[in-house]
Amino acid sequence: MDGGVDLLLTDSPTLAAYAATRADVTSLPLGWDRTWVVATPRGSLAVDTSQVFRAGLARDAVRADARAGEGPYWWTDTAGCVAPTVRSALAPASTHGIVYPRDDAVARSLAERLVAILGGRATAVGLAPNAFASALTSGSEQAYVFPLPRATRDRCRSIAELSGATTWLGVQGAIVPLIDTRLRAVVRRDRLALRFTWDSTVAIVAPHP
Amino acid sequence: MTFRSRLLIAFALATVVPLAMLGVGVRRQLTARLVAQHQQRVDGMARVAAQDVERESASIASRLSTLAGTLRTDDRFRMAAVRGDPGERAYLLDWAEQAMRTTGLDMLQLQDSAGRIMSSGHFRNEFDRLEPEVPRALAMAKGAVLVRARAPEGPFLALVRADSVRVADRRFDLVGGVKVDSAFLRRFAREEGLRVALSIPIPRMLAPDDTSGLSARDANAVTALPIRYFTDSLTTARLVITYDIPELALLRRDVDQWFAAALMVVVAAGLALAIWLSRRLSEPLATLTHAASTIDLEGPELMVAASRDDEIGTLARRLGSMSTRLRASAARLRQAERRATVGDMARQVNHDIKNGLIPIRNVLRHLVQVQEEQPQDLATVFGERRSTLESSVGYLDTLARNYARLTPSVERRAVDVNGIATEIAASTAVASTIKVRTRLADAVPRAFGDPVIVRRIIDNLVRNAIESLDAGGGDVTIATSRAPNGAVRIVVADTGRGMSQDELAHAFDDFFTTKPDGTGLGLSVVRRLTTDLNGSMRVESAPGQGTAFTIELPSCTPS
Repeated sequence: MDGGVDLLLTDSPTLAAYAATRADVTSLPLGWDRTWVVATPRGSLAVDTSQVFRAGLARDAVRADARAGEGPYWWTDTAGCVAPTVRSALAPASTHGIVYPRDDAVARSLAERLVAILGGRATAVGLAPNAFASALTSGSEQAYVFPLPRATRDRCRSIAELSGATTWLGVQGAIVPLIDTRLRAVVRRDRLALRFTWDSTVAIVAPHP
Repeated sequence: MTFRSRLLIAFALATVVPLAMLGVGVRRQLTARLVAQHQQRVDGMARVAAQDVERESASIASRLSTLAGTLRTDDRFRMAAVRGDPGERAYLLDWAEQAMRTTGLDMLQLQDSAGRIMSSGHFRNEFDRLEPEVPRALAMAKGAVLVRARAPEGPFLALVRADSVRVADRRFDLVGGVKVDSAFLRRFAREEGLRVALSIPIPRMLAPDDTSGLSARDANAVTALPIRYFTDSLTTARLVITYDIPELALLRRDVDQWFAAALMVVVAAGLALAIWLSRRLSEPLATLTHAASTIDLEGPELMVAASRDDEIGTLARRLGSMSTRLRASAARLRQAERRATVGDMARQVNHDIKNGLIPIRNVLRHLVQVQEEQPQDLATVFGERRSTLESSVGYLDTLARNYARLTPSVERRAVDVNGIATEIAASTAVASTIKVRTRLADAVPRAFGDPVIVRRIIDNLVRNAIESLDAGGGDVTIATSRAPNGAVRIVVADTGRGMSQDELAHAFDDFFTTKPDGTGLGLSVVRRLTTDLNGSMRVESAPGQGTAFTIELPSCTPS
């Protein structure tokens, strides 16, 4: 921002707060676009999943503009879609790992919070993207924390892709939404402007002369 | 195992074991002396390490004290922790992480008076967890304590201290410290050869990189530094400091080499000596063994070299003497056997001649009776009984020729068993109370054997049957038939007193008899003769119910 970029998309509340102190920029929150879920191949985790708990996660656990996850979720509405492939029952988990994509700070914070609450031998394990995808497919870990888009243009296709990556879901598996996050757009007032369109979509337009 | 092998093993043990004990003893003594020399040095290093730990502890305490001081004047902290301002909640949660970064600590957590974690630097999202035990244990220990701190990626060991601060009349505890891992331990190993390891009550809690990989067993000079350790309660861990004495390894290697060389020489010399001695000892024994194995009581006298004047010479002389006595005993035994054989044969000849003479005597008595009572019929009767006389004489003649040969040859030709049975029944003169009958089957085939032997078999059985009858008389029946297997079956049965089980068991033994004037050869002769003809024999008898002997002889016609 100090370097003079025209448009900045950020999920950092600190950065948004800094933008509010400057007169040459304006910031606007974008729509809630991602939902962070915890997927468990062998039943749900022994944690509270109430709205209060999830709101606490959004407020304290992550450093992002977040709220408790709010439905409806496209992956729960399978009407009209082809039934997903279901794998046979999984062997007991060999680890107590709650894994997350290594470069994802929000997922890491959520995984660490779950580890803190679960206690015992649970550990948070960050994996590289490919390794995370393999681990998710195998279903060998205790739980997986990762983001899903809040909206999809092709619901059945997205469901098929998610089911393909988590074939264990149909047996004992579960996907529990935790929090929703959104980005904030920061633009320079003299170069760009933000405008709401008729359907509340934020559009970046040229400033008024 | 041979005597020579045992001797070799004994020699090997007698030389190797003492040498091995000597080598081990020298090695241990050398090690003990050198370790004792270096132990003081290691103890000194341990004291330095203890001072380092104390210094580290003081450093941690100083940093915590500084943090406590800043908290007293931190308004944002006051707003968040005391007033509960939601706007400063994130500041409170991130405070410990920030403070840890600025102070260089590896572990820091801020807890309220109830032990609730309000901010954690090493595990940011551990907030709100109750952990009152650690501040309490640290307060009791009054110094640095090893604890197992939780982290998202797993627990780690940390050397921690505690401090407290009061803000707005509320007490807050600060627990912070440094990570104890292999890098931490290496800081105490200031010299070459010095190694530091941590021994804690639950070894698996020590992550692999937390140990310098040394156990006391490998150590040369060792000392242990106690350090407080908290898991569920306060216990003691040990900082184990070991020193590898370089010259000790060299010395051990030299001793091992000398020992190996000495061992090889001693073993080689011992083996050579053992082989020479074992040969000296075992060769005469082998000679004696060979001589003993060639003792032949029938052959020439055993010649054993007995010139030695030691135990082996004595053994050889005694073996020779024993051989001589054995030869004398064997000669006496052979003589006795010969005498017994002659006696047995005499008894058998007597028995057979008596059997052959009986028909002749009966014919003669009959002729005498006819001459006295009906002289005019003498010629007729003589003509009738002449065949009996000739048959008996022929029988005796054959016997004589057989005995002359001592090993009679068995003829093999067709034998008319019915004819022989009829002849024996007719020629057997008995008292009027005794009846000798025949029950002969027409379809009986001819037996394949020697007619003299068949006659001897039936004759002996009939005589035996007559002699078994009581004074009141009885019947003796000679029956012939064809056995199911095609053999010629001859059954001689009587109505006599029969035999008990015990008598049956010995009926065919030589010289076994129940009659006062019996030879005890009849049935044994029958069995031997039957066997000579490749026949079989069985007997059925019971006391008071008579006896039946069944002979089966091979027939001339196939079955």
